[in-house]
Formats: sequence, C-alpha cells, structure tokens
Amino acid sequence: MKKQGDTIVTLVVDDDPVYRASVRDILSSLGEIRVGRRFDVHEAHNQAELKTLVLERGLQPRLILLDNNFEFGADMAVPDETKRNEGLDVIAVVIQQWKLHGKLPFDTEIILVTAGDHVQGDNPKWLDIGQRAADLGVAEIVPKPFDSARLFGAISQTLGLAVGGGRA
Amino acid sequence: MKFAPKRGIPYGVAGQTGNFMRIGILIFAAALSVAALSVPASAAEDPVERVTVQHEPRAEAPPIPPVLSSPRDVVLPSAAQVPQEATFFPPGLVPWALFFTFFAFTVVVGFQHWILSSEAGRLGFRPARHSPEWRLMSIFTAALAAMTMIQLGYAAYASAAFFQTLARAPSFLWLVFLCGFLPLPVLLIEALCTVRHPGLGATRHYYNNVRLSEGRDRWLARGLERLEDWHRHCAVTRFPGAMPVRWGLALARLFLVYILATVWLGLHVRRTKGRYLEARPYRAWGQLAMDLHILLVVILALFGLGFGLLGMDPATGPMLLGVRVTGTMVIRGYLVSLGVTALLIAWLALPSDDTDSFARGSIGRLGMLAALAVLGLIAADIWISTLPLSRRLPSWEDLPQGVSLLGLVRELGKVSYSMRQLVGGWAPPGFAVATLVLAVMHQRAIGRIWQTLGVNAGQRLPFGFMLKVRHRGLNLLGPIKLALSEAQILAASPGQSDPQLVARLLERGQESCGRMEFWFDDIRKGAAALDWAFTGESSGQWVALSDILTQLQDSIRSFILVENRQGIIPPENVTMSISNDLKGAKLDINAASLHDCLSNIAHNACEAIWSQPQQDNFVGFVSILARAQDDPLYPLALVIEDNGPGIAPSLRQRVFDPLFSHGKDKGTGMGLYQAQAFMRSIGSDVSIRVSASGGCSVVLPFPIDLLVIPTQREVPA
Repeated sequence: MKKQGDTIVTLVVDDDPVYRASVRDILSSLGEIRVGRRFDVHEAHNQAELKTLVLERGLQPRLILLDNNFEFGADMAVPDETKRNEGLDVIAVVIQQWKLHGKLPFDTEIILVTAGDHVQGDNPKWLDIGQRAADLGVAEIVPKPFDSARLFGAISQTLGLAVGGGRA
Repeated sequence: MKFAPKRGIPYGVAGQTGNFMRIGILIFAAALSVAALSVPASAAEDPVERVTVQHEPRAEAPPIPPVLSSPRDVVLPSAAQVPQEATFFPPGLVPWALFFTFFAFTVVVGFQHWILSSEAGRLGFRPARHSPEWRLMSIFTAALAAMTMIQLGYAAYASAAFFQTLARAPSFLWLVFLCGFLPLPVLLIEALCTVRHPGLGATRHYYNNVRLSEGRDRWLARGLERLEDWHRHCAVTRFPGAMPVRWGLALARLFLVYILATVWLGLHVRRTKGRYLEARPYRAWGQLAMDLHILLVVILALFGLGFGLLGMDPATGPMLLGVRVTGTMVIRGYLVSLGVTALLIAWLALPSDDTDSFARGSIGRLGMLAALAVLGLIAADIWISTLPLSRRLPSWEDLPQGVSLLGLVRELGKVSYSMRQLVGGWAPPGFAVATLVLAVMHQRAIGRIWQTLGVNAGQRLPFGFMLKVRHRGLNLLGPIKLALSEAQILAASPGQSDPQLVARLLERGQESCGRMEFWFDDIRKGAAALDWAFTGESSGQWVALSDILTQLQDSIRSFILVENRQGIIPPENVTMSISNDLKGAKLDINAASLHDCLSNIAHNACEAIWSQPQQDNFVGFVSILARAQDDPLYPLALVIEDNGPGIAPSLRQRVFDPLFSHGKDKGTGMGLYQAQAFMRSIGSDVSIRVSASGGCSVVLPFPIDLLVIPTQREVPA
C-alpha cells in the first residue's frame, strides 16, 4: 500500500474499537469538508498490528494517530498502567526498523493521543514524555477526549493544511 | 524452560528452606563440636584445674569496686594469663550431654517441620473433627509443643554452659562473635517475611518474591501443585482466636528474651563468682535471675502447650497454628539465645584496665554491635508480629523496620568490607562468612524484596486505581464528545457536517454511555473491595440458593444481550445451563455481595467466550452448577464453567490481583479480586481449574456454618 495523490493515508492506532470507529468515520466523512483532503483510514488495535502494517505489509502512512497508553495489552501487572508509554515505545521500534531497512526519510507525521495523567502542567513525568515524543519526531500531542475541531486543527497544523480546505 | 513465578507457595514447602538455614547452623554447631573433640587428651585429663584461670594472689588483686553495676566491671584475664593448654570444654558428663542436646535440638526442629509439612501435604490436610487423622495430628501437635518446650529449656542451659566456657578462652572469642552473627540472616529473612505478610504462612511469601535460582523455583513449583489445596484451606484469617494467639505469641517471645537474658546472666554469675566476682549484690541478683528463669520456663512450657492445643481447631488447619507457634518460638528462642550470649560475652570482652589486647577489644565491640543488631531485629519482629493480619500497611516509608532491616544489611556489608580493607584484607573467619552472607543477601534477595514490596505496597493500590478510573473515564468520554460536538456543528451549520455521520456517532456515544454504566458499577464493587467493606456478613435473612441462581441467570442473559453488541458471537450461540444439586438449600449470607461475586465470574466467562477466535458453528456455553460435596466443612460448591480459551497456569494466581486485567475488553481488573475478597470474608476461597472442555472452571466452596441443607424429606417436590 502506498500513498495516494490527494488522499492522506492515515493510521489510527488505539485499543478502543469504538474510538477507532468514530475517528475513522469523522476523518472519512468530513475530511474534504474540513481540511479539503480525503482520508484513507487504516486501523491498528495494538502495537503488534501497527508493526505488522507498517513493517511487514509496507504501509507508509502520511499520518499516524497514536494512542500512548494501551489499556489492554498482553500483561497488566503494573497497577498503574497509565504510567506506561506503549505508543512511544512501539513507534521508537518502528522508526528504528524503518531506518534499518532504508525506508527513511519519508514524510510520516505522528500525532500522539493520550488520556494519561501526565498531560498537563509542569509534571516532570509529562515533561519527560514530551521530550521523548519530540525526540521521536511526534508533531503534536492531543489529550483525550477531543472533539472533531480539535482533531482537524491538530491534523491541519501538522500537515500544513488550511482548515476549511487546501494547503496553507 | 523459563519458570513463571507462582504465588501462594505453601508454608510447608517454604518451611523446607527454613530448614536449610537451620541445617547451616547445625553444620556450624557440628564444627564446634569437632573442634572441641580435637582438644588434646592431655588437656582434658584434669579439665577443672586446667580450665581454671590463673588468679593473681589475693593480696595483689586489683581493688574490687564496692558494688558492681555492670558486667563491664568484671575483670577478665588477659590473653597472656590464659595457660596455653587451656581447653574450652567444661568438665563432666552433664555439660557434654547438654551440649549434644542443644546440637540435636536443631535436628529435631528441622525434622519436625519436614514431617509436619510433608504429612499435611500428603493428606491434603483438613481432616474432619474427631476423625482418626484429626486425633493423631492433635496428639502429635500437643506432643510437639511439649517436646519443643522441653528442648528449649535444655538447649538454653546447654548453650549457656557451652558459651560460658568459651568465654573463658579469649582465643575463641571470635567464635562467640560468629555465634552472635550467624543467626542474623535467618532472623532477617523471618522478619522480612513478617513485614510482607504478618502472620501465618509468612515464609512462603518470601519465596514468592525472592527467587534464588531456577532450580529452586521448579522445586517450589512442584511442591506448590501438591500442597495448594491444603494451604488454601488453612486460611487463618477467619479463625476468631487468631489475634489473641498472635498477641500471646508476641508475649511469649518477650518472655523468651527475658528468660534467656536472665539465664545467661545467672549462669555467668554462678560460674564465675568464685573467681572474679566477690560483690554480694551481684551474686544475689544472679541467684534471683536463675530462680526467675526456672519459674518462667514453666510458664513458657504451659504457653507452648496451650498454643499447641489452640492450633488444633480443624477450621484453621490443625497443623498450622501448632507448627507455626512451636516452630517460631523454638527458632526465635534459639536465635535470641545466641544473640544474648554474644552480647553478654562481647560486653565482657571489652577492653578494661588490665587487658591490653587490641584485637580482643575490637572483636568484643563488633560482637556487641552484632548482638545488639540481632536483638533489635527481634524487637522489631515482635512488634511486627502484633500487626493485624488484614492491616494494610499505610506506606512503605512508614515501615521503619523494613527500611532499617534493608539498610542494616547494606550498612553491615559496607562496614565489613571497610574493616577488611582496614586490616589489610585479613578478617576472622566469622567476619568473612558474615560478609559473604550479607553480599549474597543484599545482591540477590533484598533488592528483589524491595522491588516487590515497592510495587505491591498497599498504599499504592488506591492511587493506581484512581488513575485508572480517570484514564478509562477519559477514554470512554471520547466517542461521546465527538458525537456531541458533531451534533452541535450540524445543528449550527448543516453544511459542515453529515447527518448520517452524526447519527452513527451518536449511536457510538450511546454505546459508550452503556459501557460507562457497567464500568461505574465495577468501580463501586472495586472500591468496596478496596475499602474492606465488602463483606459476606449476613443481613440476618436466609437466602434460598435457587433464588440466587435465578438472579444470576437473569444477570447473565442481560449481560449477553447488552454487552455483546459487537456481534462477535451472536447471543443465540451462547448457551447457558444451571443445575442445582441442593434444592431447598439456604444461605445465611449477604445476597447482594454474593450476587456481585457470582456475576463477576459469570461475566468473565462470557467475555472469555467472546474473546476466542471466531469459528463456524461455534457455540459457547456457560454452566453454573450448585454441587453437593463430600467435604463436611464445605458441603456446597458453586462451579461456573465456560468453554472459552481458559486461563494460562501462569496467570491463575495473578488474576486475583487487584487491577490485573488480561485478555478481555474493558475490564477494571477488580472483578476477581472482589470475588476473592468476598469468598475469603466468609472463610472460603476461589479456585480456578481447567474445565472438561478446556475452558475455565471456577469453584467456590461454601462453609457449612452459612448453610442450611434440607434433609431428603424436606426437599420440595
């Protein structure tokens, strides 16, 4: 699967199927209205599926909407799983693999979506995560829950699109 | 093969490893005896005369203070004054016999534990009251208690005589120091276990958290399989006399400290009064201490016998209390005896005016420090042992005993290393062994314990729980917020949104609302379980078993219809069967709590079925069976089975951990925790097995005291 002309290949990575379906619906139905682009939305419900799609099946998404905390991973031994950062962990692996296989650079943008407890303020944990996200090339972090305006705002800013349609 | 850690290593198995510790001490005692026997025969010909220290002529003796307020005032001969042929072994047959009693006592205690634990495991031990096994084990327990107490008395005297003799040979002072130090690791482990889980079965938790080697793990795992059932039935938390027993035990330990302190002081006075001590008050106090000792030993023996008898309540597992009480008292008594001995002798070894041996003084100081550390640990242990079984530790930082224990090991390791550096690498043998023990403990065991305690400390649970509540809540709000915002946009400017999209989003928002309702119900249950408010206490009314089952059936049907909107497996492909072997049975139980407990397990069963890979013509089933059991104490068991993928053996214990969620959609990780809390609150437990179909079978036994089972004539048609 390769990038298509004006269509933005988007990968939504989240363990919540209802959330994924809603985001897919909004991007598919309103992309042209809001940012003047069509979205070809793919979904991955966990880290393994993300790796399968981008490393084995060759998907090169223009945009990845990445959940940072997967509640329903393989093992939930840590009482406070919101302190983990599976999203950043897996994207670090993916980027490393891309580098290994000479597929970088290509213009994939990542938007980190998280409901973790460290999203606001000057919490040191949050500063660490923000720094790590920046190091990995994450363009923006969007806290959950969000509405469609916030979502399209983040996308247009990340991809340089004008809200309302066209490139800024 | 990588070994998956198991939880709930039975006491009996863990007790085996405690035996290794004792065996280590035994080897040391054997070495001492060999050393004693290796004394040249010529030296033993007239031991009384040879052991006697050369006194200064009376006229030239240093002035004795009018009142000796401290043993430090006792003047010991310097090393140069001790004749070269001096032997440290006392004369006569009696001390020899006592010494070997002391020697054999360790063996006996080790074998007692071994026999009891293996026997109990073989029996799957929970015999009916007044059954032959019950009588046999009761007699055995009582005999054990009495025998142990007698052994303790003899051991105290024997070891006192032995170490007293040692004290007169300065060249053996380092051995005394070693005697004081060797029990430290043992005591440390015991105390750490008590910190982690005060009360019975504490030792096993140590082995849950500390895995010394893969081989040991496999060995423990095999033992676990064999003894699992027995241990589960030995839950002592329901035993109404548990707290008095624990307080009594703590008191008995205090008695032990006092007794052993007095006996050595008294013995010392008796043995040395003709040589070093002339002061009358000092001698009088020693006599009094001896008399008190005799009195208290009698009291202590009665204590031990009483506790042994208390331990025979079949509801608590007859062996457990008896074993633990006697075993603990004996072991700690042994440790205390060594610690006190080392303390007193090290005190005496402190340099005085007429002793110029630097090494002797230094070793004396170190021995005293070690002995003080041992006694401090014993004091901490006694205090910890009084904590209620169910008490949640407020915070790890509030555990001075834990911090001090761990810090003590680290600091002692540093000190021992520094000391060896200071003296050019040389150290007495005891010091080297101690350094090695400390290093191994610190590197392998303590770090792991620290980590485990840090993760599992009770105070972190509510915090983690609240964070999870927040995280999940925000996730569930996502679809709702998207739907509402789009509906708002559609209403304000219809061209900016799509009515069909908004309809779909609203439907998903609705679904999220439904999930939130279920989830908030889970939170309530979880919060109740965390608060220890979740109880099986009766509301005062008998509840018919059939009503409970009917209610559960309705709950499952509703759950299947409401929750399975994803259409993974159609509701019609999930069948449910309910059967009741005990028609007319009633339970004196909190019906609402029981319903929550059962529905949690049944809902898990449904979700397990849905989580399977889809296959054509797959029909899931959930079976609920109220089964009569042969067990007189637990005549009823509710069994909930499914044909889902089952639970991996490595996860069977972990699924009961709070906030542990595995392989299912949107679990709080509180359901099984809450179910277990409930079952434990009624004196039972939950067990997970593999069902005939390869799925999961959850068994909940109900105790007889909560049940009314009609006779055949009373059973309704």
